[in-house]
Amino acid sequence: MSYLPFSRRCASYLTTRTGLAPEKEIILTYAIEVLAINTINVCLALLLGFFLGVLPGTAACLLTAFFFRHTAGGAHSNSPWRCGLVTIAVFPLIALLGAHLASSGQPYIDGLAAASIGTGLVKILQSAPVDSPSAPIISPLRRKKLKTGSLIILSGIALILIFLRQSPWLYAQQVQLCLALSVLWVSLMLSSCGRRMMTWIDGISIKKRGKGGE
Amino acid sequence: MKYRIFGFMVTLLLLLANIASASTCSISQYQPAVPESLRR
Repeated sequence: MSYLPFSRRCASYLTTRTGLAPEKEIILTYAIEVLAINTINVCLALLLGFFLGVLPGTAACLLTAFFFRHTAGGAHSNSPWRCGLVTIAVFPLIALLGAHLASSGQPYIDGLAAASIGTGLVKILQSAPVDSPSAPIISPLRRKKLKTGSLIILSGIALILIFLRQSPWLYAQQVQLCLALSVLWVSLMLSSCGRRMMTWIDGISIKKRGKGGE
Repeated sequence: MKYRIFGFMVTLLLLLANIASASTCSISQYQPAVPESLRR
């Protein structure tokens, strides 16, 4: 299993200092990697959202993706850095699109919200939970529980969308659109198109040029 | 004192590993390999 050198070093240090069993070191490495990558990605996405003036929308997108992907899963990148770039760029851009569309009128917002919930429902019934080779779902019972969990999360999002529709909050329409667009993004990640897109991102070659421009 | 702080950190990290392994995937698009002992 390959982990970042930073996570391996931290886990090795903690194992030595606490006298932990050596077989637990890999679990520590995994936990440090999950914590570090997600903290960096979330903080940078929120920072970008703040600079773009769409912080509430970015936070709403991140929360929606967190709860939806927790049970439904989705396509993954093989590189932590490429994944970081996608996460940091996508959610503030979704929030920016939400802010832009917020002025289009309530009937359009309602239509988009209904379409996103419909798409999410179809993708959950068809594909969820989508696992990855790095984190396979072995138990069929767990698979069933995750599918049910995805449906419960989507129902919760639908209820929040209805609540926001009647809310006098200044950002209600913007957040409503951000939630709907995030559901569409996660639904795309559940589809074969999303998997192909992440494979394509993994395949983009980043080669350093030689001194002679070779 | 230092040993206690490290012990507390290790306990929290082991708990986080169990929670993270129960999830299908995290918020980001990258999924670190789940250790064999945590796969279910």
